[in-house]
Parts: sequence; structure tokens; C-alpha cells
Amino acid sequence: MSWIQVILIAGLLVAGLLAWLVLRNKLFGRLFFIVQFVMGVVFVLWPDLTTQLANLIGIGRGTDFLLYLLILFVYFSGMCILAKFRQIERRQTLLIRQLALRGAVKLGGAKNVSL
Amino acid sequence: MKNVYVVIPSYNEGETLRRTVESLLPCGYEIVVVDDGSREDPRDMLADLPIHYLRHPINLGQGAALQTGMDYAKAQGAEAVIHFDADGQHDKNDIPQFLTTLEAGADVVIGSRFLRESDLAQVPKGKRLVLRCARVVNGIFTGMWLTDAHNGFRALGRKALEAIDLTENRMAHATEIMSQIRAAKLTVKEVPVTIRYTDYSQAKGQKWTNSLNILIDLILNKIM
Repeated sequence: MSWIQVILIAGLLVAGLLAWLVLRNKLFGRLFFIVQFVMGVVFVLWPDLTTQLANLIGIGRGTDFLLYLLILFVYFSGMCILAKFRQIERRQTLLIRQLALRGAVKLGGAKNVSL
Repeated sequence: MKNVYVVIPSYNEGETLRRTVESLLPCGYEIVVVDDGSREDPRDMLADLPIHYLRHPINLGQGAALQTGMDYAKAQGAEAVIHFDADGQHDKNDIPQFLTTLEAGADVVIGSRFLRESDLAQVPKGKRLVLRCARVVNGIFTGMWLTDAHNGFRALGRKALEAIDLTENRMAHATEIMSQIRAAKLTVKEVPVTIRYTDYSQAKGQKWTNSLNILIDLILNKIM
């Protein structure tokens, strides 16, 4: 095993662990990251495999095959994060709204209004 | 019509907010100011005015502030809610025609700058073009073809208040509200309004590039 393989696999392990922590409850997300992780390890250990797979589906070089996969993964990951952001933003809005409603006051001398 | 609540979302408006509120007070409506996390809390500046005051601790956007105001008005037993801009571009004298249209049976009444030549003449040329495009986008997304796409001057009756729940915090709420009106099968009427374009409201108002942001918000809302 070459040094670069050790470094890459260590990196994959850390990334995989982080992803696992973030996506503990969603089956699809979990499977996605597991597949991504396993493929990463396999390609690091057997680099020639990428070229064989690439030829199988009509792509010339293994690096191109990896590049296409990478684009798909990055895009999918980005969409997941965006969806999560929007969900968090929605919850934050509800929380802030409750705070605002509870803090509602009638100005001009009158007392607090309670809902 | 009794129990009319005028909801004014406000963000960093300063003195203009006070002037807008003062001009509305003689009309006798309940006034709800929702401060959307302005840098300086305008509460002290409004302290002597008989209004309802709510504040978001952080800035969320105009759509979120409107929904907070509507939730409040609903809990207070409002029969109608008017959306009114803080920057002084809406005319309080237009409010009675909104209310009579509600009384005549509409669930939602929306102001339009495109019903009278004189109102349209007030709209800057570039803005007219953006609004015409926005009308098409709105039509495609919501299936409702109104004459004016993004008019913030609206009135909602009780039935609409129960049905509308804005989740678009920023400006895309103007299109979202149309989708929800259609989904809930509410009846909509348009009334002509005059919008005053002052230097202040122009500077505060939306730049045309933001319409692209609105479009992206809408697409995202459709898919996730």
C-alpha cells in the first residue's frame, strides 16, 4: 500500500464518520454516504478498477469516470444541505414568531396583551 | 367593517415608520407594527402611540413579518387585515375601498397599479417592465393572472386569514400568497391604488436584480 492510499483512506474515514453523525436518522442519506465511502475505499485500493468500469460504460479514462461521479455526488450533497438549511430556516421562523407573539405589547400606556 | 387590523412590517425605517403610523391613526383601525429585527428597536420612538407592537429578535424578511402580524391579528379576533408598507408609499385613503370590496364578498383584495392610467404613470419605466415579467412568472407558478404582480397593498378577510400561512420569509411571499389563495379557492378582487414613489421608498424598495432571487426562491420552494 502506498502512502497516498493511506492518507486518502484516513481522509475518507473521517469524512464518512462526520457524514454518519450528521445523517443518523435518514436511511437514504445514510445509504448514499455508505456507498460513496465504500466506492472511495475500493477505488483507492484498486485504481485500475476505475478504468475498467469506465470502459464498460463507454468512457475512455478512469479519471473521467471519477470526475463524473464526483460532480453527481457534490451536486446531490449540495442539494441535501440546501434542503436542510431551508428546513432549519422554517423552524427558526416559527420560533422567532412565537417569541414575537409572546412579547406583543399595546403601546400608548396600556399593559401587555396576552394571547 | 369592525375589527380591522392594519399590519405594518418594518425594517430599519426610523422616522418614516412613525410618520406612516401617525397618518393612519385618525382612521380608527387597529394598528400592528411588526419590527423585523431592525438594528435599533423603534419601540421607544412609538411609545406614545396607541398601537400593537411586536418585534422579531432577528431579521427574517417581510413575508415572515407579515405572517407574524396576521397571526397576532387572528388571535385578537380580526375580521380583516390590511397589509400596509412602512415606507409611506401606500395611501391610507385607499383602505376604505379595500374594505367595501371585502364586504361585497371578496376574501382577498389586492391593490393594482395597472388599472388606471394615472397610477401607471407614477411607476418608473424600468419597474413597469420588471412587473410585467413578474406577472408572467406569477401566472405560471400560481395559475392566477392578476394585472399587478407584486403589490404589497392587500386586504384579507377572516376566511383568508385562516387559510393563508406564508412560509416564504422574503419577497417570494407575494407569489406564495397567490398560490395559497388559489389552493384554498378564495375569491380575489383587484382595486386600483396609487403608489407614491419617493426617493426614500425607491432606495428602500427592491432592485430589479432581486426579482431573480425571488424566482430562485420560488423554484426551490416547489422542489423542496
